[in-house]
Amino acid sequence: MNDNDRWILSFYRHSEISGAQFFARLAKSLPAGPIQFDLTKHFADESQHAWYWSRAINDMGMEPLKMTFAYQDHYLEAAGMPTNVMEILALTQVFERRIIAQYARHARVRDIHPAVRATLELIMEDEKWHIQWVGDALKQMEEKFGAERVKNTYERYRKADEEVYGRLIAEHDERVGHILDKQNYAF
Amino acid sequence: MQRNELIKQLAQLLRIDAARVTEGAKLTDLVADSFVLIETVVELQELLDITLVQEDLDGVNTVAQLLDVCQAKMAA
Repeated sequence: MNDNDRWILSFYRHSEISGAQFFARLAKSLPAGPIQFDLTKHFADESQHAWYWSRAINDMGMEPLKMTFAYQDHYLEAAGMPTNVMEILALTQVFERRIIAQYARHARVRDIHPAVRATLELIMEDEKWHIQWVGDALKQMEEKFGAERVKNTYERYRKADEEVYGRLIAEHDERVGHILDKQNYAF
Repeated sequence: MQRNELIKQLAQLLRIDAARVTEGAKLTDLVADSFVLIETVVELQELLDITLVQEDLDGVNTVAQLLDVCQAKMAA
């Protein structure tokens, strides 16, 4: 594993921890019900993912780097603060789709360490359920907020995500460029 | 709910001394990070039985501004 691999895996780990912390807080705040139930499972998954990355880095004979920012930190700056559960879930849906796309790309890179491939595949399975439950919850929220508002909120965060992702890729191209270069894909 | 009661409730949600929650206090100065603020705003809506959307909080920076928005929603 080179320094760039260590950096990106540490970044994944750090972002999973941030997600777990945020959802843990929300799971404490929300009233009992289906959203609280699924959110509790969601934060447990994110914690588990952070552990998977810790284990993968360890299996490769390294230690995680201490990171100063998570992917999610940039959303608030780009799209403003979500104020209710619908807005939080719309942002979550955008984030989960970004994660699954990023992990899928990473899994296609030729010659990645078996521990990394196994971890990516393990996490992507959970992410499918995350997208499913959040999508279902957003659908239910159309009754309260209106389908148009839910759609517009999702779209606002999707645009913010594109901006954040583009900026991060530009800033850290030397570390992540090889993951995005299709010439490095095995399939 | 009276204004001073709202401030007390907000201090409880923020888990800080009520003396720090003055009308002019900046919200970002009262929280360790933005995620605490999101959590607090969600809890405040549960407590007051109101729904806020992002536009409601455009330009809201202080405790007074947040409470004004909440009271307007409660009165609506």
